[in-house]
Parts: sequence; C-alpha cells; structure tokens
Amino acid sequence: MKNTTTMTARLLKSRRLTGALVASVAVSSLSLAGLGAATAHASVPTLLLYNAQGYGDYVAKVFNATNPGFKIVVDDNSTGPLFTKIQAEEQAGNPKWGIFWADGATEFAALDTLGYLQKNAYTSTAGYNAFGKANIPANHSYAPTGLTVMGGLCYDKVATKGLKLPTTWAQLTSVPKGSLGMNDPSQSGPTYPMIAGVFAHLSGITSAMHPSKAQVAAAVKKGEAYFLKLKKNGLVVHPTNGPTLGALESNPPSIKMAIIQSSACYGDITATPKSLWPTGAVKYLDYSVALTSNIAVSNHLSPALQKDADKFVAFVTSKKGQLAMQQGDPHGDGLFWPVIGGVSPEKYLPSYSITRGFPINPYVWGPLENQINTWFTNNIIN
Amino acid sequence: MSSSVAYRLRRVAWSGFLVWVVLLLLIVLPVMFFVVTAVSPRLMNSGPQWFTLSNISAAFQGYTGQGILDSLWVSFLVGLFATTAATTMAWLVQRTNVWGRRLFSGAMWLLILLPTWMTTLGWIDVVSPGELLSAVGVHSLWVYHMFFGASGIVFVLTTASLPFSYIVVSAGLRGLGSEFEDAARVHGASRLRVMRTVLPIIAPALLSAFVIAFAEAMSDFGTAYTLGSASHFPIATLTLFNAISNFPANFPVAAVIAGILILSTVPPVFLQARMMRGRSYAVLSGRTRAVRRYQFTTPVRIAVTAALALFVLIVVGMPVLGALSSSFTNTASFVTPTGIHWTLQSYKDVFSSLPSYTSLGAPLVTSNRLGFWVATLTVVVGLILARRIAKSSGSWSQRITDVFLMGSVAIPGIVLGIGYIFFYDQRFITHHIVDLYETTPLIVLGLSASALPGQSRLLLGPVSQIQSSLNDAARVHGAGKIRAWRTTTLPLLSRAIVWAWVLTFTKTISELAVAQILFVPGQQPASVTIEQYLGTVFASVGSAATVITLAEMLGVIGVVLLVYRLVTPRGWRRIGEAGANS
Repeated sequence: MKNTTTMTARLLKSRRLTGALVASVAVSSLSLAGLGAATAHASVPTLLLYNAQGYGDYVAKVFNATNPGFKIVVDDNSTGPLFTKIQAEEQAGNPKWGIFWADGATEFAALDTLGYLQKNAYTSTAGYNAFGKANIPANHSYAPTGLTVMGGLCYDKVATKGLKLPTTWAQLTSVPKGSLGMNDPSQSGPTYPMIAGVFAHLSGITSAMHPSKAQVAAAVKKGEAYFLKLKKNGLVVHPTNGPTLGALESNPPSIKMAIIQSSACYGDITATPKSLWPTGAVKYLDYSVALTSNIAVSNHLSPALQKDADKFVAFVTSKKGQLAMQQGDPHGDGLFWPVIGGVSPEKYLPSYSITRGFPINPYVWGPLENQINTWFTNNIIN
Repeated sequence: MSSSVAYRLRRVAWSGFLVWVVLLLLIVLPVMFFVVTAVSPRLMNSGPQWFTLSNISAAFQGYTGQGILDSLWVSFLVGLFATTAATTMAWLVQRTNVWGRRLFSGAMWLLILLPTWMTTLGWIDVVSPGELLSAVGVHSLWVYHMFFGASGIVFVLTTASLPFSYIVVSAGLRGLGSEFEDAARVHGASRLRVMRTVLPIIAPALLSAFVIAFAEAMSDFGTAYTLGSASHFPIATLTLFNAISNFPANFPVAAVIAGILILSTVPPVFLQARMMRGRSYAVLSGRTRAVRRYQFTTPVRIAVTAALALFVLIVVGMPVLGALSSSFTNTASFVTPTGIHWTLQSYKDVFSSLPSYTSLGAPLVTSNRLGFWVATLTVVVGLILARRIAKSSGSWSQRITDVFLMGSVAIPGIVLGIGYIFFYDQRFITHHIVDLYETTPLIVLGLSASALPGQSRLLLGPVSQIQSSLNDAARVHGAGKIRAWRTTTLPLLSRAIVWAWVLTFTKTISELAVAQILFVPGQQPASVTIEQYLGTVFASVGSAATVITLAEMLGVIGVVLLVYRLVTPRGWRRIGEAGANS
C-alpha cells in the first residue's frame, strides 16, 4: 500500500504538466457544458428546424408565440451546409434535425427515397390551390409551401438597349456572345432543378410521366448538347444569385442578361427604400421551371414530437402561415406565388400563368443531381 | 498492488498517453471516422462496400483530379513565395534601420487577422469593373482577369500565409544575436557569405515557414470557395466541398481528397526533419546579445522604406480598402452611372436587422465567448504539445507528433466539422457517454482542434529556442518543476503565449468552415452571419459587418496587450529580443 501511495505521489508530481492539460480540457468542457445547458429549453420540448428560407426565423417566432406547448428552434443556414448536416447525422445514425425547410423538390425526393422523411406529414390537401396541388408528392412526405420559378430572364434595360431580346430558350444560344449568365448548380441550390427542367422540357418529359431509364438517358444527352451550345456562345457562370446579379448590376455590367431565380431579380428591383436595380427587368421565355419551396419532417422524431412538427407544417400551409412568410422577407424569399387558396402574391409579382412554369418530377431527376452537376462542372464551367 | 505491477505502471509514459488521448478526441478520431469512408463507405453508411478502392480512382479523375494537382503546385508556390517574402521583410525589419519597423510588424498582425474569404472579397471589391480601381481611373481588365485565375489564388494565399511565415522567421532572427554575423565578418566573410552563414542557423524557422505556408494553402477553403469557384479554377478544398454539398453527398470521394491533403504535408515535414537531424538550433538564452542593425544610407533607406510601405499597402491595405469602400456604399458597384453614393445605411442595417437576416450584435457576442474558450484551451494544449516535440527532438515520438500536427494543419475545417458529426453524433456515444452534438462544448472543441495544429507549430519555434540549461540552473538552485518553469521559461515565452492567445481568439471569430457546421442552433457566430450577407444583394451590409468585426478584434488585441504590459515585469517584455539597438 505504501508502495502504491509513493508511486502515485511520484506519478502525480512528475506529471503536473499533463495534469494542467487534462484539467484545462476538463474545466473547459464542464463550464461549457453549463453554457450549452443554458441554451436548452428545458421547460418545453424543442424541435429543431433546419431552415434555408429568409422568412423561416420570422415564421417560427409567429408560430412559437401562439403555440406554447413546444418550441421551434431555428438553425438558420444555407441549403448546402444544412443538407450536409442532415446526411452526416443520418449516416452517423443519430439525426438531430426535426424539420427541414428549403427550396427545390429534388432534394426532398432524394431524402424521401433514402427513407429519412416522415410519410403523411399532412393528410388534408383541401387548402392547396391548383399550383400547390400539382406539386404534392403522392406519399405526402414533404409539403410544398410556396412557388417561384427558375429561368426567368433577368436583364438590364440599359445594357440591352437596341438588342432584340430572346423569347425562347432556343434563342438563348444565339444572343450576343458573352452576354448571358447563369449560376453554378454545385453552388446554387435552385440551379440544378432549372437544368433538370430544361433537360426534361427538351425531351417532353412532364412531371406526370414515369419515363424509362433509356428515355431519361436520351433526355440527358439532348440537354447536355443544349448547354454545350450555350457554352459555345460564351455562357458566363457565376457561383450564386448574388454574384450573377452583381455582374448584371455593376457599372459597367459584365453580362447583360441571366437565367436565374425570378424572385432574386424582383428582390433587387423592388428593394426599399430605394431600388437596388432600377434598370432591371424580368422577362419570361417560352417556359420557366417551377421551383417549389418545401417543408418535411424527420422520421426519427418521437410520435409526440412528430405531432408537434406536423402542427408547424400545418401552420405554414395555412393562410396565416403564408402571410407570415411574405411578411418575414418581403423583398427576398417572400416574393413567391402562394400555394394555398385565398392568399395573393405580393404586389410586385405578375400572374403566375405568364411564367409558363414547367414542373418536373423530382423522383426522376433528384437521383441524377450529382451526375448532372459533375458533368456541368467538367464540361460547362471548365 | 504488487511492486512489479507498480514498477510496470511507473514505466508507462502516462503523460504521453494522456496527451494522445486528448489529441485522439480532438482530432484523430473525428477525422478518422470521416477519412475511413474513402475505402470503407459501409462503415459510415455512405455506401454498400466494406472495402473498395474505387473512390480513390474516382477522386483522381476529371475536375477533382485537377483540383488535387492544382492544390499541390499552388501550395508549393505559395510556400516558396511566402517564405521568400517573409524572410526579406523580417530581415529588413529586424536587422536594418528602415523607418516604421513597428508599423510593418503591426501590419503583419493585421494581415493575420484577415481570413482568406475576407481578403478575397476585399480584393474583388478592388479589381472588379466598377469598383475601387475604376474609381481612380484604372480600367484594367487585365488585372481583373489575372486576379480571377490561378495567379489571383496564388497571390491571395501567399498574402494570407505571409504573416505566419513572417512571425516564424522573425522569431528566429530576433533570437539570433549579431555575434554570429560578427564572427563571420571577423573571419573576412563577404556580405553574401555572412548571409550564407547566418541563414542556416535559422533553418528551422525557414523550413517551418515554408511548411506552414504550404499546409495553410493546402487546407484553405476561403479562397477556394470565393475566388476558386468564381474563376472556375478547381482547388482540392473546393472539389471536396462540392462532393459534400451535392446531393446525395459523396462523402467517400471527399474523404479521399481529405486524405490526400493530409498526406501531402508528410514529405515537407520529413524533409525538414532530415535536414535538421543531429543539429542543434538552440540559440535563445539569457545571454543573447543585442544586434547591431545594418545602416542604410539615407537615399537607400528612403527607397527601401517606400518599397516596404508599398508592399504592405498592397497586401494589407487594398483588401481592407475594398471592404471599406463596399461598406460605405449601398449600391451594386462602387461607381454607378450617377456617381459614388456614400452612405452609412449598411452600418445601420448591421444592427437593425433586415427582416430576413440576423443582426450582428448577438452573433458577435457568441463569437467572442467562443474565442475566449477556444484561445485558452488551444494555448494550453498547444504549449504542452510544442514542449513535447521540442523535448523529444529526433525521436520517433517527436517525428510522429510533428507529422501529425502538420498533417492536421492541412485538414480543411469542413472535414473537421463533418468528422465531428460522424464521431460525436454516433448513437453509442450520445446514448452511453455524452451527447455533445449541437452544444457549445462541441463547437469549442471543434474550433480548438482547427486552431491547435497551427498554434502548436507557431509556439514550437519559441519553445525549441529555449536552452534547457536555464531550467536546469533553476532546478540546481532548488526550484521545483513549476517554479523553475515559472521563473525561467514563462518569462521567455510570455509574449509568444499572449500573441498565440490573441491570434487564436481573432482567428476563431473569423473562422467559417467549422463554425458553419457545428454552431449551436439559435446561437449563430458572427462569421456565419457575415457570410449569409455577403452571398446576397446585401453584400454591403456584410462588408460593414466585416469592418465592425475587424475593429472589434483589433480592440480586443489592444486591451489584451495593454493588460500584458500592465501586469508583467518590464524585463519579461524584453527577454529574447536581441534587436533593441537601432
């Protein structure tokens, strides 16, 4: 016993430095655990909302104010990091996310295919208008919450003065060289659905169809040929909406027109108190690609939390919820066409019908996202 | 307990064991859990195969393969340029009579505070059409096109690595009294010959400077994400990010790229170890003499000072000016058809948040709190690691720790972030050990893991220059271990420790990759808030937030240095500084 005591004493004495290391890690961890704990809302259950929408925070606040039984905690982030987190959590086997809200149906379809989403997160679709109903998945694994379009032609009225603007997607291949821009699908979430939409439209594959693999492969080939033509004509690819709009609005502009998300263009044009782009305008070609914002619930939640999550889904797909979305980001993501009956779009938006929105089947095109984006990066960007 | 068991226990290197336990939890296990998916996707549910090499061949094809090659040659050039520029600048500042020496050293610290994404965006605000250069009448599309390409990336990464290299080389030069130069001159050596004699003495610093710059460039994500993606020049960290952010995420290919980034640092570290084998570079002692500065003639002094000032203005001043110009205008470009419209609107918007954005106040508080914990933890652990490496010089343990640390510098933050989810969100860990995911402790550990390798390397220079005779003398005179360390080593290292702390603190505030993945929901750090502004039409608000954050970081540095000045004995601040004479 004496031996052991002496040995221990020696060990302790000679390892003070290591002790300092361990102590500092331990003290830091313990004190920080306190900080972490302080953030938890111990009194009511919490639901983690992974949100990539500009209005998400505001809508959660409105909802929390009237639903005291539980609390929606918002993880505000870009779509990319949120997707990465969801997939990493699922692969680690312990997902923490409760609700996911972002633009684009292809990703939601892919999440559903992987079995990550709660089926039938809502049962009634009576409140939806025709646009909304057209985008509801059969198993109700995600709910459309708004509609925008990709591929509206945003252009600068001064820069394109004297220029005959294209009226069809086909004509985009012959606009003045280097004048057309778009986003990089690897960086900009909504750009892949637009590319997939172009591929589908060129081959006449509608959202209601269930094409064979050969039909899809043929459509991909046709679509690739189209984008190669655009590239040959000097297509300029910027990472996301911000830089593409920057290229349109800079003085002098480095591009004259771009096929991007129409709401982003309207956001700059209608900004208050002063328009950020007074010479900007949006024109719709022979079609644009319908892009829904969607919300889904994790299938790993406890039944009680799933019920709570479903309440939030019901709220955002109600009239009140749609209005909260508009109020939450009136000059950004709030510029959408509502999917619920009886709610009008913001005054800046034209009638949806003039966009000639073309919906795609996300279950057909979702699984091809990685393949098509890689092709785009290798062949169009480089 | 029998005496033989006690003897065996005593023989175990517990201190080394515990250090490795900490490193395992901080870095090794999270990174391993991610990297292993490269060859065994099934282990992490990332694919059906238990073992495959297909991801390795996939990573070397097309865009990703190009990204790996680009990263290697870009990083090599960055290492070379940064070390050369840093050595020249350190020599001019430490060893000559140029004017404004403190200003130039201060500028390096300012540069080190700027994360690469901030520098890149600042430069874009300078060279893009309609921006700062246009305002002063320079419409050079050539500069614009040069910047948006490999040359721009090499330039920005060199400027980002420059301060790290400068600090390492400066520390080497500062500890080197002029007796070595004098000895060479006495023996009739020419000026060139003197340089050839003295430079090898600071070889550890030069090699460290190269290796740090190389590894920093390999792991950099800020430039790759901003400039690399905009100029369509693939860099490994960008292709890694693309592999992860595509849907479904291609974690295995991303893991291969991460593995290559880490392994790429092994050859330079081994080269460094090989060149230093069997030689001693311990020159810093209590008896180091003050240097005599080389006296330029007045015209040369003016010319050299002006050249140095121009260089510093370009590498530090221009990106800051770019951010300032963007923050004081609220238009898409600095120059508009109706002129330049100065406004403070962006600064107002920073704190009275736009409907869809978080205002900067709360995120800045969160970042400062994180910075405090991360800096404290990193400095303590970094110091212990640096001491272990310096103490076991030449041993296998030292080489392994060294290679491990250098490899860790090259780990991109995004890999660390996902590795933390893969490891700390494992069901077994969350249910049976501790559930840390999406809590403050985990982001602190993640950010510390990100800062630790670089800081340990920076501390290694000062730590390895301390002659062990100082400590031995104190022990001979009866001081205990702690007292000996407190009275001999601490005074010599105090300045390095303080700077390591403020550096980690400020780097934590601007860190984006780990923070974006691991931040606690509802407690967004400032870097994430700023990034969300910068990617949109509200970029000017992002620029204003950047300027405010930078000012805040400078304020904290000022306060910490003031406290250091007030609480430490005067001698502490002068020990090891051989360049007092001018």
